[in-house]
Amino acid sequence: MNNRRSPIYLITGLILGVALGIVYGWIWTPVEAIETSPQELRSDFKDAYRELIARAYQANNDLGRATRRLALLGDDDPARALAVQAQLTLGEDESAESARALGSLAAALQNPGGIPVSVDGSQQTLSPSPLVSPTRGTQSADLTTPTISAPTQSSTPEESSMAQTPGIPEPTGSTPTPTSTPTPSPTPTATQGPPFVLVDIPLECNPAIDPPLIQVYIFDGAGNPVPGVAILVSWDGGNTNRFVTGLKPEYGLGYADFTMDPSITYSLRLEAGGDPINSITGRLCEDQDEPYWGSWRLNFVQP
Amino acid sequence: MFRYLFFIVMIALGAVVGVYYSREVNPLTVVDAPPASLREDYKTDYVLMVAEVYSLEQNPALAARQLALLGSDEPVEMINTALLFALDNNYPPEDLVLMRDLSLVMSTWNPDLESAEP
Repeated sequence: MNNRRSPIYLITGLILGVALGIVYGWIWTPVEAIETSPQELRSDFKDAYRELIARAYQANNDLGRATRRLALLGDDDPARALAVQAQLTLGEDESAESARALGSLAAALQNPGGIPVSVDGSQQTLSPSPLVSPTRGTQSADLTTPTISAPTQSSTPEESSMAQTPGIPEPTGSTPTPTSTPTPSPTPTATQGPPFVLVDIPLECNPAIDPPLIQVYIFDGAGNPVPGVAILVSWDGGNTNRFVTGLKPEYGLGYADFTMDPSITYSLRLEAGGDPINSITGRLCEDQDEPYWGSWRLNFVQP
Repeated sequence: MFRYLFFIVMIALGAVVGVYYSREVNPLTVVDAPPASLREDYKTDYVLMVAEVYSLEQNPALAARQLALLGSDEPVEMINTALLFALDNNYPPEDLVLMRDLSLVMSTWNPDLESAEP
């Protein structure tokens, strides 16, 4: 009788063993996080890593290196991730330097051939890094007396094995939404002052822009949009806000906006200098059956 | 008697299969890892970025805060570890100099003295 017993007990033992093995592998001794890549970092650490990439880009102006480093984070759209983080950084009143660095790198990714422009509107001169031949082969790494050598275009070894430079999105430079029936010469008064001058303030009548915006466009002398220019807006009661061009690269590198309350009168000026533009307040557009609030578009140009 | 022996053998065999499945076929994916767990070449590149930022901003406190994400070791130890890795892997000389300079600064930097300043 026993000799003819079904071998089901063997299958039971096998299943029990498999279960024990999986429990051992997944729960008792789970994989320890060692030798991970930046892509596997926690989101806040990714943000810190992304900010460091942007700050390092400000130091070395090496867009290729910054792009390779960003690729390690695995963002679907690195430029957008940078821009979003820059906006969040500004919104949380964190370091303006960080926001500017993030925004500048986002703008550089959108416009890889562009010349970096500093916040005051002046074009930066790219100077090469010092190229030296250090003494090697010892752990003491005596690098105190470097000698000048021929320039090289090498990169760090691990970077050469990193992912290839991802596709850089084409610059858009378009306005956020189509506009209609601009009304010239609005209430605000124009302001002069280096390094940018206000050339006009048309009222943008577009019912799709709701709530209305104060839109700022900044261009250099050649007509190129300028990212990284800080704008200060203030209104009654001593309230102020600061926003920076280039943080919405989908609308153009020289674009920034501020959501306005039509019932409030604002004053706006560039942080780099210049007189304030006063009396910016809501104005109705009446090109449709029902009037609606228009948005102000402030165009600054570098003289 | 043999039945018990076979039963235990099958459990052991199943355990081997289970461990293989959980470790090799379908291992747990590492997510939300801390920077301290980064592979050494990534850590070295992180230190290099800190050195690049320091070369521009000359702010040792900022560099210390950035390096603190890599773990609890002394900043100068992290930099020297990265520097040795960079030397062994033929990093460009300009990168080595940046890390060397940061190492020199951090070896003498005292956060207590800095915070005591008005």
